[in-house]
Amino acid sequence: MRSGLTSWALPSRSRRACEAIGEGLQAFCIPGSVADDRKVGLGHGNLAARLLSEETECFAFLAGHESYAAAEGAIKIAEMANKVRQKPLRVILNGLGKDAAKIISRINGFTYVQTQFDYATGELKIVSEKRYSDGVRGGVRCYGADDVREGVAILWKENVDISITGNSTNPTRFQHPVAGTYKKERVLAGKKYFSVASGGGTGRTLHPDNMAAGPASYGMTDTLGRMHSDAQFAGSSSVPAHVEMMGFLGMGNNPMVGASVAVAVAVAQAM
Amino acid sequence: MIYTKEVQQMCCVAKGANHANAPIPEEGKWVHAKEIKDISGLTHGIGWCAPQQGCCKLTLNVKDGIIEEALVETLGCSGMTHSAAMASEILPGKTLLEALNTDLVCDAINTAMRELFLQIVYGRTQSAFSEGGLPIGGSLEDLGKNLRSQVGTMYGTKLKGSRYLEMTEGYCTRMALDADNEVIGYEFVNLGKLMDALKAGATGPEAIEKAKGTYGRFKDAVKYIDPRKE
Repeated sequence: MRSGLTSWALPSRSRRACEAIGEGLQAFCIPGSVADDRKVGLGHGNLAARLLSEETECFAFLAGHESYAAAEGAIKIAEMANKVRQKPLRVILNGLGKDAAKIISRINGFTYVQTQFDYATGELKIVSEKRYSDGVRGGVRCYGADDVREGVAILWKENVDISITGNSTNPTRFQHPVAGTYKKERVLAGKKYFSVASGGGTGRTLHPDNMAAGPASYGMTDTLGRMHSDAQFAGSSSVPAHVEMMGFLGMGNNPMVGASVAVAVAVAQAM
Repeated sequence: MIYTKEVQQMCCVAKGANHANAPIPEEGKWVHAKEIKDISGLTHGIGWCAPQQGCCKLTLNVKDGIIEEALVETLGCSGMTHSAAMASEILPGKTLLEALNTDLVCDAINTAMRELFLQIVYGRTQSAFSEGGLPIGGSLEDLGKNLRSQVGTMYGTKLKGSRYLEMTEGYCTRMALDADNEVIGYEFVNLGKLMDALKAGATGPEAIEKAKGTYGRFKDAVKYIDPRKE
């Protein structure tokens, strides 16, 4: 896992610090648990390294667009990373539904970007943009996609380097398929992309059509995460009890990401 | 057991398929479930009634096939709240199989029970990968600190637009509108906190102030409205 980091531009001491944080977190995974199996500690360390790397330009939150609160964690993480980055990290939200994207932007003060996807040519046009507030929040660009193909096109438009699949709504129909398709296309294009499978969906045992019949009719969200992700988290994004159920002791996913980045930033500043 | 004459006269063909059934994940173990006592886990089921006027979210914590804990949440029907009260007494202690067929007559609760049964016997519980499952009391986590259900009540008309009445954070007291008259935030009173403050001896206005909060760009509004009166 560690060897994958060497190609990312980051001062070696900062990188080593991120790796050490990941190894430390890994020690809090119960042996044999899902958290242990998914290497959630090492994954968080690697994510912290990517977020601090100047090579990373854009951090996308692949959201469910089901709640107003989904973006809070991503914004705070970017603010933290920007303390030690030379070039600020861009943050975008990409989720299913244009009306939802607009209302979420309006309530939270993001910039709503209205797009139109051409299914024949694969071209994505920006129809309009509206910035709902000044300051950091206004800099967050929020997109609504009609389906997976438009979602992938949005990631290309913003040249996304890192994404986190958001909360538990729509995981099998939008977030995981978008991340997986984009991963394949980035690999074919010879470009880097660090995909994180997070959110409540990864901790659940849902079947995509929920038919409740036959063998192996569980675990689809876990499987999808395993198919495309460079780091997979344990259970629900912000509920410590759910993460603990999966075998990681201490805190929820969002706090764990925040804490990993905060400690990595503090180490980088001290060096 | 009696065999018909036709079967008695048949010759025997050996049964070669001898594997166990497909295992399901339960409380961190992979189980070949054969009997109801082989089923454990905490999970949810959602149900509705024939006239589709109310619904129920049922959460059960099952250990070795027996319901040790039941959380019954209902919406949209006053009678169902009373059926839920009965269910909270009837369901605990029953086996999963018994619970499918109690003498409760609320469609929504019975349908929730059926849907939950399907989830749990096919290995789709919340605690599928949790070593040892969740402690009894785990279902209360769904209610949050003040032990109240997560309920949303919103209303909208073509003519007058949207109204937020109740959010997960609490009772909506005001909605915030921007210069375009569009919603940009809301103010709420958390009823759990309000009751805690009142029980601790605060006056009404003090308790309301303590339990108040806002969401979104509430402070940036050019206009505030009472969603119930304006």
